[in-house]
Amino acid sequence: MAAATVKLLRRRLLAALPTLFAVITITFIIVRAAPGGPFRDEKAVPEAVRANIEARYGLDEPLAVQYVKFWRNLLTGSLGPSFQHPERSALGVLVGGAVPSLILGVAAALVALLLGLGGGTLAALRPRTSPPVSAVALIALAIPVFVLGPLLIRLFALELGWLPAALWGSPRHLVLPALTLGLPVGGALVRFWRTVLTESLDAPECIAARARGLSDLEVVRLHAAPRSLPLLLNYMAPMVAALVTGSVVVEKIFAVPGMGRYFVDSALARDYPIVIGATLIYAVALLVVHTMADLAHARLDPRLHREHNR
Amino acid sequence: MSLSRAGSSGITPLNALLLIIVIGGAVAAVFGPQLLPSQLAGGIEPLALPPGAGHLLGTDSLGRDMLARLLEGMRTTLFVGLAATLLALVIGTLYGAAAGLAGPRADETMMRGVDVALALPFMLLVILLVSLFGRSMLLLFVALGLVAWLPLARVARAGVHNLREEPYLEAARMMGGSRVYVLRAHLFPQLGAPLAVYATWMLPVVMMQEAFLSFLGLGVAPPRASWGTLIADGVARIETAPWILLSAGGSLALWLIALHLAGERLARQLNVHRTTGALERTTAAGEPDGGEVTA
Repeated sequence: MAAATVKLLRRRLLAALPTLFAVITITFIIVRAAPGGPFRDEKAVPEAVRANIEARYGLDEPLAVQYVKFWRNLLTGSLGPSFQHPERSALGVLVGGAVPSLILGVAAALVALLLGLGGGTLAALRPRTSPPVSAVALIALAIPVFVLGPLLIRLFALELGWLPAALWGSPRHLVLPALTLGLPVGGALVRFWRTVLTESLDAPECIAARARGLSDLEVVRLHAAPRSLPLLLNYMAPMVAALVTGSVVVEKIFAVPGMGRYFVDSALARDYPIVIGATLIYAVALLVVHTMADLAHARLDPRLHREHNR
Repeated sequence: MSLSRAGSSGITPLNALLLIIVIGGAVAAVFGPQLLPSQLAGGIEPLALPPGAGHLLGTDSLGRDMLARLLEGMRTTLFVGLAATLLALVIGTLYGAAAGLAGPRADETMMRGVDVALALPFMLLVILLVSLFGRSMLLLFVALGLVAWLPLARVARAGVHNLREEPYLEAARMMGGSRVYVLRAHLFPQLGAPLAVYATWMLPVVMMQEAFLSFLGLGVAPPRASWGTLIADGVARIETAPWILLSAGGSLALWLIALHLAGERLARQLNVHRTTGALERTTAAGEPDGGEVTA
């Protein structure tokens, strides 16, 4: 088993390298092909001064040279200085932002899983609840996060005053953003899990378990859920991707000092190191989730594992 | 993996309602702005008026009739969504069919490319593109279309693979039919159903993405409206003029739900099975995955 796991990991890692290379190169090209530059839109500085600043950041060199230098920097674990925050390194800015983003993402994923698996299980076990549960789930997933967030703020922060409307710092600050980000994903998960679980409940071993007198929840816990788990794992990667993209706007709405909030601003300000670094971090996060899902998948379904290692 | 459900078809009240929302919304979006031009209320009246007799949905923050603005916004979002979906459909079908018909090695390479692309944080790249190159509708739908074709390519390729060994295809090939002929005469008609279903599922996703980008201020530029810019306006004025957000956000959600259900129904009608719709797999401006559709 261990050897197989190592083999799988190695295969995933080898597949990840071209992906990361593509991410970095594509981002670099997009960012640098765009008109404008980091020090173009500010106050009218004399040409010589601007040239001086650009030389300091190495922006006056040919693009190919900059690209090679960027790689050299990256391999030593540095992204260079941030253009907007000259006193800080881009990596420092990003790591500072990654922590709130990660906390928010994990909390939202928990919200989504709790709602999704709970609602989906209910709808699968009690077919009569299925239409209303599905309807609510569909509404939840069709309301865009940028509508849901402000509505929650208006209700829970402005009208009721139970929770802070924005900013970051205490667990109470986490509630509304996590709900906003997690609810649509949870709605999608309800419908997904209901379909998958309903199918699993028809499997012979589930019918047999029921015939032996196991309760509904026991059947789900012992037979139907483990059977459906590989499919759920397949679902994780797009789910995490949705959380990542959603967090860009949720962090903006709730003024969470995370990576997503700075992403658009940095792009508009042409802060190249931050933009490339943020994209890279998101890509790595996605790949890690893919790989973890794969590993778990192989554990759960050895057939698939063998197939992969043909 | 194909999960079939006992399909009910025919005109049920819900089907009729869905049809009315989808088609009625589209018609209103296309023709509404001509019939109901949005004008500045002008004068020294308060700008954002609540819904009332003169303005069914109230007015926006500049005093323009909200209903008229909404129809304009719908038109933009619908147009971008349709154009991007169409673009994705063309690229995806051609690429997927080419991979499906190519030899195993070329097929593998082409689909590996799709896998790599799907593993990219693609919406972030779209955000990058539109924030760096400025606002334009052309860029918007091209960028969105370039993301959306990836899962469609998988659908098309899977369809070709399913059909490849059918006797009538073999017969066509044996009679000397070229690849292009086989594709045109036999494969495309067969691929129509799953692709149509997937495109119906794709449309609400792309529209949501357009609204998302416009909300971030990266989509269409004012005075042009989109569902997203209207929502952004509503969010900015949620304390003083909540009707802006409610009408813009509510109508978008309603429309997306109707489209999604219509897609599900279409799938059942055409006997295309899939575990979940695209909207469920992407949600809230997420990225489309490559779910399988089997015919």
